[in-house]
Amino acid sequence: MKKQNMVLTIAVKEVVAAFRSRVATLLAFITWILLGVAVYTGMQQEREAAGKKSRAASLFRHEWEEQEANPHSAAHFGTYLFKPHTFLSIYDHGLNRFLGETYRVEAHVQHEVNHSEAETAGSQLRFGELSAAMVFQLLVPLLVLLLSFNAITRERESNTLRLLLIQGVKPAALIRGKIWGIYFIVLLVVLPAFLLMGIPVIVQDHGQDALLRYGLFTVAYLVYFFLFSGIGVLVSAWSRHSNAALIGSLGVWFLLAVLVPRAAVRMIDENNRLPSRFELNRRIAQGYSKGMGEDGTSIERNRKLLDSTLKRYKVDSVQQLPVNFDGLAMQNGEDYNTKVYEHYAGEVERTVRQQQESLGWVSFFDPFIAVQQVSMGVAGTDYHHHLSFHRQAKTYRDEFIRILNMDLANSGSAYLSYGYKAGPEFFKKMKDFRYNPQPAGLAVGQHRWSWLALAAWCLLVYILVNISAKRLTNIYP
Amino acid sequence: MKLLKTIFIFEWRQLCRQGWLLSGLCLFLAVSLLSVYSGNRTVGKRWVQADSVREAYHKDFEAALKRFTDTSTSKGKAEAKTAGMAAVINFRLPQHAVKYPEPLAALSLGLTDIRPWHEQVRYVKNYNDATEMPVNNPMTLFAGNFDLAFVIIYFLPLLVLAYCYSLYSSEKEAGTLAMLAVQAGSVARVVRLKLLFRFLVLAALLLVVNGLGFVLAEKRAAPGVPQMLLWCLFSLLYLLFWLGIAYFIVAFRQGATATGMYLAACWMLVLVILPSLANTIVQQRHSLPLKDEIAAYRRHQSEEIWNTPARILSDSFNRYNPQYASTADPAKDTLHLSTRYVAGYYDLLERRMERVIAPYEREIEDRNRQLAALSAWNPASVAQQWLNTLAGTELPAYDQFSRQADQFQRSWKTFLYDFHIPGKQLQAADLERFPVFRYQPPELPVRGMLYQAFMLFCGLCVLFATGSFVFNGKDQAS
Repeated sequence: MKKQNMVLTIAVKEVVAAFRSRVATLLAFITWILLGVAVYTGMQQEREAAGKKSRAASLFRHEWEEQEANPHSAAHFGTYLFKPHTFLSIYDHGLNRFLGETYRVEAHVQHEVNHSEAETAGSQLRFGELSAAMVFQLLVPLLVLLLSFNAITRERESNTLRLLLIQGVKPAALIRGKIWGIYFIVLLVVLPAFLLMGIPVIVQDHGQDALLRYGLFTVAYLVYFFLFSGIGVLVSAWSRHSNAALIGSLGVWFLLAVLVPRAAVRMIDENNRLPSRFELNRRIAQGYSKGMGEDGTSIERNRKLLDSTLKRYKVDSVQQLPVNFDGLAMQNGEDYNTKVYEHYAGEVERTVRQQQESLGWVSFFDPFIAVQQVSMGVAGTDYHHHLSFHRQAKTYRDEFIRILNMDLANSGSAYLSYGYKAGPEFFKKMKDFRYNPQPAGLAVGQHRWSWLALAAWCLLVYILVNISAKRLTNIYP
Repeated sequence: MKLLKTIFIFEWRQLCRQGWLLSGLCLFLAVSLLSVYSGNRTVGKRWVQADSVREAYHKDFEAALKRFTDTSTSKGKAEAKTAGMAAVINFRLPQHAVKYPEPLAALSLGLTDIRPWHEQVRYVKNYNDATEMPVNNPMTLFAGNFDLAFVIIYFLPLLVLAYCYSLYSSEKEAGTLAMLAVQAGSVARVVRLKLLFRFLVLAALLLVVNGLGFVLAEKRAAPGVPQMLLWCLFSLLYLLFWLGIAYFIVAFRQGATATGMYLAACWMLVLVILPSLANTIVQQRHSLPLKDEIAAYRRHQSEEIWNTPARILSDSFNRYNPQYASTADPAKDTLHLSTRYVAGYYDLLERRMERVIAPYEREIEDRNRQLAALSAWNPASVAQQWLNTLAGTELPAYDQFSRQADQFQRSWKTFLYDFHIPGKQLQAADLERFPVFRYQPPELPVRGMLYQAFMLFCGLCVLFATGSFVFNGKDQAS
């Protein structure tokens, strides 16, 4: 028999056996039920959240446009920006529950994206929530292992393994056949689900980027399921009895999907320590009031600005200036505030990025972490996408406040007089915030180590198949 | 008694012979110690951060005190004049409310990493709670805690699974079942005695792990005896729950593989599917309000109140705060930006804000209550809540902290307003009379916990009785 035919025959036999014992049908049923519930609730929640955000954004925009106020009062009044979700966040909620959704635009204060769900919830939320990604990451691998743990031990226990080897079946072909057989069953279960989940992406016209993201999402999980098919069969090949194989498979699953991800993330967090909120707030406040480096205190900086402004306009006093110095001083304060914030908050951001990078490396030891990272990345629910929103919102905020301060400076109003008011005509001119989503390619690049880790795991499975084949040959020479 | 001794000796020999099982028990011990280490690191970091708050405050306090007396330079003289102004003290020397980790916090981190544990207090209430949220990598929050509670909740059931899945089938496969049945009178009795031995082994291991946790946990005060006893009681009950599940499934006398698969499915159901389903149901029914209405209201109220004539605002302040009425000076108070005008602005804003925040908070409370009600049916969720409660890291503890911090803020305001409103200066000695925040943890709901423990115990009795019924039924059938 040709090698390929041998693998195919074994694979087909495995599929038939699985469906005959109804194990595969049961597993398919459980997977589909859970996926159905996860996708339905995900869609409902997403629709509601998007509706709320859209209504709130319209309300704030309307209030902004209709006001009649001093530009600085308007800057204090400010506005709110809301983080939009990508379509794929229905399937993978990722970090959304732990990240804020609202960004406050306000004078003098650099806010973060606030109000996450986890802030108000009890510890129950830490058990996780039902989503398609959770089903794919945790449940399907377990089901795959339950399908595959006795793939080889069954043959061994019924003495058919010796017969197969005597008949000339190569051990490597046997293991490969078993892996492909199990994987084919998995495909029969998950492919219809992926196709159904892909329909809204195509029908609702979310753009080519969404299609590409969904394609990557599907590919990542298909590779992941293949890995677990391989791991399951390999554990079986290395076990003497089905009982031991079952315990071994469950142990591997617990290790990879439950224990290592938690322990690794905590260890990484401990090794790249973040400051407390108090320390960060204090550093920012002191950085602003006392100044960074040789910049001088806020009073000194203000005096320096006044001197240079007077010099530039060749006048002696602030009252003689053709501009309202209040506006200039406030903008100067804003610029410095931004500098201080970017310095200290930037340190935090770099540390978190370092942690993310380390997590990418850890994914070489754990395919669960790899697929989790990759999945969040393409679903747009990871830290990088959150950061991208924060950056864009912050840029918008800085420009927003600058326009208001400059309007005050050029309003012709006198220094320290607050009578000047701008009307709706001016406020309507202020551009509304538009979030530019990251392209899919960037999301792949941000999780390049995790993508590579998935590939490396495939290679490892291939190598282990050959090693395991040699072991089988040694047992049954 | 003889049978008990025989089975216990046999089980002991089996345990010593089975290398993989011993490795499993050692792994449990090792992971437990690692989790205690990880919890210690987190709590240790929190202590360092809390200490840094205290140190910073002492530094600020010393500096504030020095300003009263240091008149050696012209700058010093100028500062000494304003050193006792309540507004200056409030700005330069804000107070701090800190929730220090409780003795068992390292063993069950709960909400330690996500809920504010520190609040900076000034005489104007801060509505932006984001300013106190711990700085975190969201991935760490998402991954969850790695502490002893996690090992007990997630790993212990798997150990039960590995140890008990072949409770019945191993005898059957070894061909010793018939012999044992003759000696013991029934197979069920043999299985029960074997289960008892395994319970004792696992319970001993669990108690050792708990004991090590109590000793090694990062703490600055010894944990209370009731807390430790309840911790042991709940972890043992949780162990019994999983043994009950194992016994119930073993009672159906399936092969080891099928039993193992059913137990794995139970693990998945209890620890992943049911809790996540409960979360999803609650999110579906009570989606989180956006707070946008509160934000919009606050902005409008701020503007409206700020533009209110000074006389009305100062009158409003006097009406709501009659204790300061005696020092009122209508000529001064009715000026724009007068002390009473500004105090009146904040006072009125606070009162109005409380009105709109209360329904929002009720909504959140409702949501959490619904989730707690749904989770009450899941022993894993209940066990997690128990352990967190004992460690002072569950929601009620943080809510209590938040309430006490609010109360402290009011005390601070009252203290400073006694100087600020009449325009009196504080003396250096007054700084020693500052109100002090001391967090009082919520009273341990021992009665409620024992009641829940009793209910779980009753449920376990039913589970074991049903298991025995199934076993006996099968016994008679065979």
